[in-house]
Amino acid sequence: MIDVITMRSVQIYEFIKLNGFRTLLKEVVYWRRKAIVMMIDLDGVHDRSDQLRRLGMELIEVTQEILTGKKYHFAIKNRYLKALHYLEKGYGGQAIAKKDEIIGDIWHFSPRKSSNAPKHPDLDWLGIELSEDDAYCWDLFVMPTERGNNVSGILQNNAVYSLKQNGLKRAYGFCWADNVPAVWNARVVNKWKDIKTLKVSRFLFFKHVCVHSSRMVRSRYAK
Amino acid sequence: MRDRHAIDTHMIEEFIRSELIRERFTKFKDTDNLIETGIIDSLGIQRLLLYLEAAFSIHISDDELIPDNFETIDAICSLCWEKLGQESVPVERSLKPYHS
Repeated sequence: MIDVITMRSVQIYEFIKLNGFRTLLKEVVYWRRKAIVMMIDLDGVHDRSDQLRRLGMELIEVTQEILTGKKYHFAIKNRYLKALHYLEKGYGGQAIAKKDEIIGDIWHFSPRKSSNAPKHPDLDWLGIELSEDDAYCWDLFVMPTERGNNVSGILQNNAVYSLKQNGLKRAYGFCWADNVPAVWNARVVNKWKDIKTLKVSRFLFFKHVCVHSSRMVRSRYAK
Repeated sequence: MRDRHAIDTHMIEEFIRSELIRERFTKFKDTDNLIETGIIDSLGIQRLLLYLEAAFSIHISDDELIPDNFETIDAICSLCWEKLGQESVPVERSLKPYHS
């Protein structure tokens, strides 16, 4: 079993190393921060892995074999620990590999695909109810040195494309409105649709959420 | 009005050419769709917003991050003009439609 305290400690250490302490503070203490809940109909999603190949990268599914094998290794330790943690819970993951190095990853939960996994905790505070045909995607990460060239947009696109290939119909996710690259990738490049916005306040472990605007409070596809 | 529009177009074009376009986009044309061609990527949009906000003293909100506002240089100019409280001036170049 993954030691969650070790995982979080490494995550905090690496986050500070990459982004600085002030950014960490902004992630755990904020007031009425705007979250945009988005959805994409998977019918319109197409494979864009050729764009990755042109950049010398490939998309792989994160599995126990990938983590224990010698072919690939995670460029960042906390992403490796997170991958172990998420796989142990039963969630699914897609990653981008550049040669033998995993430089980005994204995770998903679907009631159909991840039947043994616990419901993802974000779903409660985001107010999303998933049907059997839906998935929730979260925690998209690309190494800072590899950002640009639309790498994160392609990762997000092909992760949901793989869900489409598995018979799913819709994917949900959220991004912070102040995270311009995330909004750009989801809304502009990959054409995710806004379904509601939330105002979220957080002080360390305490979180308060209120619905700011809502076009669809509850997934009309949920049973 | 038209002169100022021309200046703004030139400024934005110059910024995109010098700061966002890389070698792979040497054949970039003014009417190219900046999103479909990948000229503005997720990092480029951050730099472009910082530039527009500083150059024109405007604030572009997250709600305005939509394809219609950024697909061409003319679309970006129109957005800036609207933010400046001016009527959007007729654009000289045709806008390439964004296929959603």
